[in-house]
Amino acid sequence: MRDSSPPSAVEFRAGKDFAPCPRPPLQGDAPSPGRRTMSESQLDLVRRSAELARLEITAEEALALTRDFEAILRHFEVLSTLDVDEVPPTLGGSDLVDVTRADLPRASLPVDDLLRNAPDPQPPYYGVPKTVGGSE
Amino acid sequence: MSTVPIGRDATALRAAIVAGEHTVLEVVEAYLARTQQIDDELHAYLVVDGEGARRRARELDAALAAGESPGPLFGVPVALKANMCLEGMEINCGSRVLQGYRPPYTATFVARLLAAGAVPLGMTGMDEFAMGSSGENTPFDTPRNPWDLSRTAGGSSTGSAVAVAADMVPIALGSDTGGSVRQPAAFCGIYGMKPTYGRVSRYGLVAFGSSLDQVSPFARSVRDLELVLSVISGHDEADSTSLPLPPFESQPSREPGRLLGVRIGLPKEYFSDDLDSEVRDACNAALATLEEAGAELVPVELPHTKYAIPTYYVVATAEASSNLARYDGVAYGQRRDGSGGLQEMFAATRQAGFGDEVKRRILLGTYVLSAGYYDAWYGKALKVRTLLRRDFEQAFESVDLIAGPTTPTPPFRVGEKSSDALAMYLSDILTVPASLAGLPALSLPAGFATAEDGARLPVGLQLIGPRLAEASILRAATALESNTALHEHRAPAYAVEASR
Repeated sequence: MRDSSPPSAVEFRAGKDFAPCPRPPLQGDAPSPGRRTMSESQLDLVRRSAELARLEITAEEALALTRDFEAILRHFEVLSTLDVDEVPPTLGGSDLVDVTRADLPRASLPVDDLLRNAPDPQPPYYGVPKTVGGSE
Repeated sequence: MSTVPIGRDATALRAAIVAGEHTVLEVVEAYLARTQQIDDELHAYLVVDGEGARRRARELDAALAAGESPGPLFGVPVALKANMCLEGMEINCGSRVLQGYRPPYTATFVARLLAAGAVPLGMTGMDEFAMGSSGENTPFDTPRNPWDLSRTAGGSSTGSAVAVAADMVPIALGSDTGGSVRQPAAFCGIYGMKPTYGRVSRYGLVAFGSSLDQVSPFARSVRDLELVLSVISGHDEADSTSLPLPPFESQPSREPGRLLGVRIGLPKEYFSDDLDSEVRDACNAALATLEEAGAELVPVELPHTKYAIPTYYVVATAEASSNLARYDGVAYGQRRDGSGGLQEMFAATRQAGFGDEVKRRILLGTYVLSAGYYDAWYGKALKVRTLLRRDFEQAFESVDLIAGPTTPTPPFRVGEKSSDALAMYLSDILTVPASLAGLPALSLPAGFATAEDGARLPVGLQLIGPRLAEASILRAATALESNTALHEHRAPAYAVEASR
């Protein structure tokens, strides 16, 4: 695996202390004098999303992504101009629902085959860093 | 035995093998030699499995000699996108995070190709996890457009399109989520067809947007598209979204050049002022040919088209953020240890393993699904998706097919849009509506635009049909194919003599 770009001076992982981000502005919203600037709220939004997505991003990446988010979400705001209160959602690519099969035991792939791609195979388990009791 | 001519379609190639003109091994050697000769410039493949292909060719030759009945793709070399599982063959989805991954099982559609006698030659280059429209979003080589090496061949099924366009294989598979087969087909001057959602099992296709992804063939002739579709389609109990239908059956037309009584709708939204004038001209010329063949061209409206890009990028990124949660360094792919704990390992692995566009989409998808934003973004997009579906349903009350350009511009230059995510997204405007509606859609060669340096650049016409109306789309494509020689054009630098 190739090294990613060197971490910038202020590398962070999104913390737990972010204030809730405002929802995206919808048509008809009155300007909110107390609302933080777009960039600040978008930066928080990017950091919070990174935390939820288990993505470690550098401060530099966070700023670049914030700029992208601003442009993308501004374009996407057109969705808020549609009144869809009475419209049902489309939840999938076709109208199939409740596809089931008989609940019967059947063979699965051999454990050895499944472990072959694991970075740290410890048959019959996947090895991962210790999660309880502190580090070894 | 004679020298194998490169450039036949799969149907003709199979017929020549079965007639004893060539062995499968001769065919495979010829295509491997062609690939070795030109792929250093084009970078279609991430992995070429020459040894495996030769071994399989010998097995097929032995089976034929033993009197076994040859399948519908007997001896035909195929290329697969690097997000398709074939047991033991490395696929990395164009991503560092999956580098070295060898699937322990084979996808249903790949198994069906093998059962039909096809010979996989290798895995082709793609935008990372199929997220992109140019093949540039990857740490590996970007496949280049054979018509102009400075231009993109489209994406995300970039390498599969290039492999067919440069005759490194007669047929290839890609996956189409929002246009990832139709757009590269248009940019490369070949056919690319996204079937109705659910026609082809997704079991063994690495997931990006599960309500949108469809395995889709590239080919050089309409009859090859029909052939591949008939092989890979049909119900599969391993995929709960697979439609409970038998495989597609082609319906040969008695008069392939005629299209009498077929009504083709032209949405005004697909021919907006933003459309490149040469793309417009090429599509209009192709439509005029269809009209001469007997089709009636009818104006229609798809009024919610302008909402398609935001809807698509909300739905697809939401699904992607969930699907890509599995790349955490535990079960497969690469791992980074981080600062010691499990969470740190997840985060460090994903930071090092994913490229910028994948991170952008995971974050966007996570955001639109997160508490407080779900209703405003994801919930809303699902409802607008219904409006887009209804647009098509309404239009198909008065027409049999809908036609328009596949892309708003001819192939753009490598690097031209790679630093502007939104500009890249907007280039998908003409392909995402059919994806959101789950409809079958085909891009076919419509003509050429001329670059500033005089080079000819392919233009694609898109035909969209109602659900399960692949046969109607293919019939119209046959009419265009029969009345023009557009599908036979080759990029000058990689020209071979096309023959059937």
